[in-house]
Amino acid sequence: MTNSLTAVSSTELISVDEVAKTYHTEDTVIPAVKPVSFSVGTGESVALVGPSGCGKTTLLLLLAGLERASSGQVVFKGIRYDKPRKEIALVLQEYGLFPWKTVRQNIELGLRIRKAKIVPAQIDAMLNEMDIIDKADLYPQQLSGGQKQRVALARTLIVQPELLLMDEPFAALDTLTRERLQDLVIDICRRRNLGMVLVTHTIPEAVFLCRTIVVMNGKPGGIIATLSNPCAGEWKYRGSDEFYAVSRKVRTVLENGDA
Amino acid sequence: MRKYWRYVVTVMSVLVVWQIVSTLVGELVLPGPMHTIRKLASEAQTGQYWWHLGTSLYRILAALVVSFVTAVPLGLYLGMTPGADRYAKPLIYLSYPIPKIVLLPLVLLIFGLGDAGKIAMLAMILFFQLLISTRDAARGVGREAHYSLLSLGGKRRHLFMHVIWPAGLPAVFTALRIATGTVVAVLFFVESISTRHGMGFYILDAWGRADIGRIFVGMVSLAGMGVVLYEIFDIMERVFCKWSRV
Repeated sequence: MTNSLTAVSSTELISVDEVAKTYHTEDTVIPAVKPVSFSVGTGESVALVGPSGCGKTTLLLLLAGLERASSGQVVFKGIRYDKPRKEIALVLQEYGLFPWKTVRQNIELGLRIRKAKIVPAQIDAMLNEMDIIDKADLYPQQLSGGQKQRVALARTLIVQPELLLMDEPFAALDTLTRERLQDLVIDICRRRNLGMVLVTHTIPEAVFLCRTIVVMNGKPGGIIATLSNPCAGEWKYRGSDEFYAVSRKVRTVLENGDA
Repeated sequence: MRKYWRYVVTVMSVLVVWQIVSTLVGELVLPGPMHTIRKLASEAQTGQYWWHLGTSLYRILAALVVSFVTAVPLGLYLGMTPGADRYAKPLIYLSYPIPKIVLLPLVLLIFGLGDAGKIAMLAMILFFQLLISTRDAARGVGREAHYSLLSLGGKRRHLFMHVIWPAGLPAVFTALRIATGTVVAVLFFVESISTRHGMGFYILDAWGRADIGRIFVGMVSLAGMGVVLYEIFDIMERVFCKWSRV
């Protein structure tokens, strides 16, 4: 079985070194993530899997530069950062689309903010790639969940990121739509040689999409295992014996392990 | 078109009920709609009527502009700046419940007995409604929207321009609609003091002369003014918040 997500040559994009996060409110201290370390290279895909509340999303927000680590460091291509970077794009579970902007305006937003030239043909090409060209002038609330997620993907891809961060992007979708979008994400990452970090609590999704599966558990959350899944991303992999074997393995780790 | 028919049906129903009550209690106490319409038609031919109406409209519009340019930016700022809101909140909650009309003598003392005092009084009423509504709307913008914009490289000004402002706009129109009703009512009070212009004065003057017909003309004019304002807000909302109606 080929590994379709394997990069031509993988160089390290992002490195998480002993990163921990604690939230401080007026009268309480809430530890969210214990010190964790892992890295993602170009064209590589990493899934953060674990139960709700184990700090997966917090970790993703740290990678996105939307939260600041309490200790440790997040490094992108050798540069430590704690603010959003243009090379890193984020796709959220609830799509993060703005209801007051049409599909086209939502997609153009990143370019507009970065004062990049907006070429209508480029937007059209992206709309075509996502198969939503006929929805360009509609508002997000006029779209289905799957179409909204396509718009969210288009909006992040138009700014040509190198790393795609996704926070349970398919959680609200039906099975068939979810599988179609998973195939689309695989295709996108393969063609653009994108690195990807996927947060999910759905084991099969993590196993199908990501070559590395980082299993998190506990409160505060920590990494309890890192599993290699070299066949991820291959269409035939979904439903194969190996796929189920890896899924069972992740499940066993989650059930038995503790951070 | 259907909307206008609804207006016609509603107005006709009110006129029928009005006529029935007028017949029951007598035209001297409650002039009927036909009498009022005839009176309105004759008043509308005098320049003085339009001067009164224009003065009231000017005061309301000026109050709307003053309150809008002060309350809306402040409300949006407080909504997106929790630190500032924590300090402003006690002040707002202490001053909001005070019936603004009791401050009328103080406002007139500060801003004078002319138009400025009256506009300031009306603007003060609008100010709090707009401030609280826009602040709450801005505060209600989810974290996801913030993350979404910031991850695209947006800064605070982009957040204001692309997220907070458009998200707050429907609440601004709702607040304007709610506050306008109160403002038209308060207009009557403020125009009863040291002025010889405006629909408030017009009604009080008619009352002093026991001219029931003119009192009703004044009431109908104020109602008409309210309808025009509401319709203007509706049109503006349709234009600026097209997305909220799909």
